[in-house]
Amino acid sequence: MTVVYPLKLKDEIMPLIELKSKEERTNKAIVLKQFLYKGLENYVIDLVNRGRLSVGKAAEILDLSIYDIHEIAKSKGLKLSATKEQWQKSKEFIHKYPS
Amino acid sequence: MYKFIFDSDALIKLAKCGILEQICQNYKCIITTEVSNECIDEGKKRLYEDALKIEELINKKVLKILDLKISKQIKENLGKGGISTANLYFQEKNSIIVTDDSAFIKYLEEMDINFIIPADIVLLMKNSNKIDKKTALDYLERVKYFIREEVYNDVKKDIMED
Repeated sequence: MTVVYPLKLKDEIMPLIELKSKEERTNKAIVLKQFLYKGLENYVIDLVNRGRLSVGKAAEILDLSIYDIHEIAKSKGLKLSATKEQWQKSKEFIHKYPS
Repeated sequence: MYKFIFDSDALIKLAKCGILEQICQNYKCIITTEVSNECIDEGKKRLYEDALKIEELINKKVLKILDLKISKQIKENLGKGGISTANLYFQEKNSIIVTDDSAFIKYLEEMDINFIIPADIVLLMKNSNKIDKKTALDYLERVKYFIREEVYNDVKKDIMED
């Protein structure tokens, strides 16, 4: 589902939007959407990194695969993984597990 | 013996490290259809070769896909794979969830659900004499790429000490 949302932009950024749209042979609405999605991607990855959003949910929101999320995190130098405190809980199980 | 239920994040990470097959051959490993979709179908669509590695384990029947009999919405910040993994845990007795997803782990902690992170599977295999210390350290080096440095250092210490 898509929504239409009115947006006010500063005049000063429009030449840049026009420049990018010419360079990439696309329309200005698509350029604006690309910028919006790039910002959204950064925000979503940050939420995953802080343990507020799961990797799977991030993939669903961004319409990407979990592999893609891992690749994005790698490109940002982030490790989306359990914290040391969470590891301590995992370790408790190791000691209980019958070997 | 416990059954390991993998979420997509852990399954993909362990496949990338090249140690998933070893784990599947030593433990009962299961996933949900949703996790299979996320790891195999979505991965193949985007030409990720690890998707094929996971599919091969399904074909070899060392990694099994189980159908859910119950399906309830759990938390809004979890994806379909995570929700189905938690539901499978409630369905399957003597099971433990394998995940490295911090948000999912927070939910598991709230619910007092047993979980294990991928790096600790290496330690578990070593403690259960399924692999020797040298192999465990080699596996940990491969997992290192995905885990936080402080976790890597502590797991390494445990492998060396035990």
